Amino acid sequence: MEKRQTGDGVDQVLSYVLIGLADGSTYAVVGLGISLVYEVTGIINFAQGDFVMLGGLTYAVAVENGAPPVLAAALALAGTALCGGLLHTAVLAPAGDAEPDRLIILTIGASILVQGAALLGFGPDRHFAEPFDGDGRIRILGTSLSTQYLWCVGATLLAAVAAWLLLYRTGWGRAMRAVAADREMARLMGLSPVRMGLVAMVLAAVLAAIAGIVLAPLQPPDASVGLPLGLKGFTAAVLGGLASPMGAIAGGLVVGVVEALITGFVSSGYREAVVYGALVAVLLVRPGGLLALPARERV
Amino acid sequence: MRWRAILPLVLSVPLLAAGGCAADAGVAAARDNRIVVGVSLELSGPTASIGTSYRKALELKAAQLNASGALGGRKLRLVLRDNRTDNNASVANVDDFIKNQHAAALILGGCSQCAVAAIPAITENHVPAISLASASTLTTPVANRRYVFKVSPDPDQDAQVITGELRRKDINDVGLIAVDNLYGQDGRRQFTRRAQEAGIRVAVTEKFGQSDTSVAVQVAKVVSERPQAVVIWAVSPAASILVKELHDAHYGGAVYLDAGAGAELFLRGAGAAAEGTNMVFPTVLATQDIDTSTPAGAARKAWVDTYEKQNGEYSGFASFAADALQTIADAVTTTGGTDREQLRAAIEADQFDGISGPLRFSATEHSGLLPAALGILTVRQGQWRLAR
Repeated sequence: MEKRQTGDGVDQVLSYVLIGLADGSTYAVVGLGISLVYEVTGIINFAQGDFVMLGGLTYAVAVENGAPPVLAAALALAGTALCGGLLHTAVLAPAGDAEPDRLIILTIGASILVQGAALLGFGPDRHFAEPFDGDGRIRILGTSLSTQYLWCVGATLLAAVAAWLLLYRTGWGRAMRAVAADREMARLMGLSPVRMGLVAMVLAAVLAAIAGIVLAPLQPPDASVGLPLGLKGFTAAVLGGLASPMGAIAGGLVVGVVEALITGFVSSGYREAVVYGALVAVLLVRPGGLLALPARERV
Repeated sequence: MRWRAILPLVLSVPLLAAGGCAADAGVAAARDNRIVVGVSLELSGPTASIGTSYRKALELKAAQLNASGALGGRKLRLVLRDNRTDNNASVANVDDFIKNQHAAALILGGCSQCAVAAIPAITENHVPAISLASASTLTTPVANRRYVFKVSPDPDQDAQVITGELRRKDINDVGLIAVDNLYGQDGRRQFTRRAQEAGIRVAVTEKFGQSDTSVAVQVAKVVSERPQAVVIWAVSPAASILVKELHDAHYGGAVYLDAGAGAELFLRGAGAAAEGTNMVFPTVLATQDIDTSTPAGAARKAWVDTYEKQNGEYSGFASFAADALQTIADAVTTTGGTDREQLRAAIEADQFDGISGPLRFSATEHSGLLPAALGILTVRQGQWRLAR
């Protein structure tokens, strides 16, 4: 029976990094959504993790009940986008020009509401979905992983590219960045901050749903998985600089890798402590985020 | 527009109503002919599906007992509460059962640490309690656990059966993955000890949190040691995730699970990866292999079939709940009343053939399930079958 050799140490680290990148890609997408909404509306959406849960859970339940995966995915996307829109229209917009703190608390309340609704609607059980490629596995550098991880990473890349294209190559994106830069001025220029906020929120919800759908086969969701995801996504966004969507993605990957390395070399019990400790450290030392971008830009 | 201001208020009404309904509105006037059994289960949290199986089993068993008239003119009344897999909620539930509901006996759910947290309240108030959890600290040392009983296998019994099987299959190099809670670490200690005694080397031991969403790193570590077999000490759904990850990591050796994987979610969650995995569990779970030639066996099959018909599929944990309620019912019949001290004594002297297997309590052993109830089961074509 072949046993581990000393040279396997590097292989081990590499395998942890790979797993960490795959896990981190989920945090990256959650962080991207949080960062996007924050950029445009100034609100930190603490319900973002629950949108991921909603997307994943709807997909898993639909598939469990016999729906073809594509239809289930469409259902999940539509449902979550609807929730995102509802959150903005029914909860945030009526609050008018309230202080961001109040709006943040509203999103926390919405998060709890979504969790409760999911618990009532889908029950307390976890729900399972088959990986997209069934039993497919891939071997990278000696580590064998389900191909579903590739889907996760692929979805994150797609989300990143799409978000970048939207923000920097379309009129809507320019409008959103304008609103983010100066709300009053944008209003004077004929843009509607409320409408841009709605667009950003629906977009974030769609991104979250995509993340939830690709994650569901790997981490069977139940109504409670949204909270830790939201927190890790928030950590990712802060690490990358809250107003930087690309930074949020990098932040998510960093969080994922750190978690995997800690689990591998220390113990899974210290994972959360280290990640949130890093969050506190970053907030204290470099509040702008590890990858802070310059504050000014021409829009 | 005014409707915008009203809309948030309107939306909050159902939220408040749901919150109000969550608090128990049951008015429990302790009537003489009703035997109140306080039941504290994990109906939310990572093991909520197991708690729900317990609830279904208890409701079925209570209905059967009440219909059969086995308790004379009396009826069992279950007061169900969610302990949210939280120690404090568990203690609060127990306090409520004792003080407000005037429960004659208690049934506690599968979360070992939640039950342990409630032991002081149980002992102080002299209320007999049957726990559906498995950690051995629930019933040992017996002197400090006068009022606590359990009906599920001890981790030590599980460990013995697994090491026996490993020895039989000539496997002497294993990896161990255990959940990081009272139950999992108890199992880890017992298994490591038994393995050492049997000359089996535990090459690598890993642990993970009950609500961890990713265990890929731990699995990678275990697989890299290439043990002949991997022993998993976890509860569903973590058990199914682990088995799937082992499968994804191209692990080719044997997989042995402890009794925590007995819930139906394991098969659904692990899918094709579960094929060929082994588990130590009361043999009743191999529902197609139940020996119906004995009265006890026939009764077992009948109960399992009824549960399946009512709930769609059978859950391995259901039998523990049924046995717990049967024990209490037996005690009530023996003592003819609801005096807690007498019930405790009657439970301690009880022995019968439960759905899980033969049960025998005594003053020195409050964990009633006898080792004869256990066996190794294997997944064949998506079903649990007897290994041999």
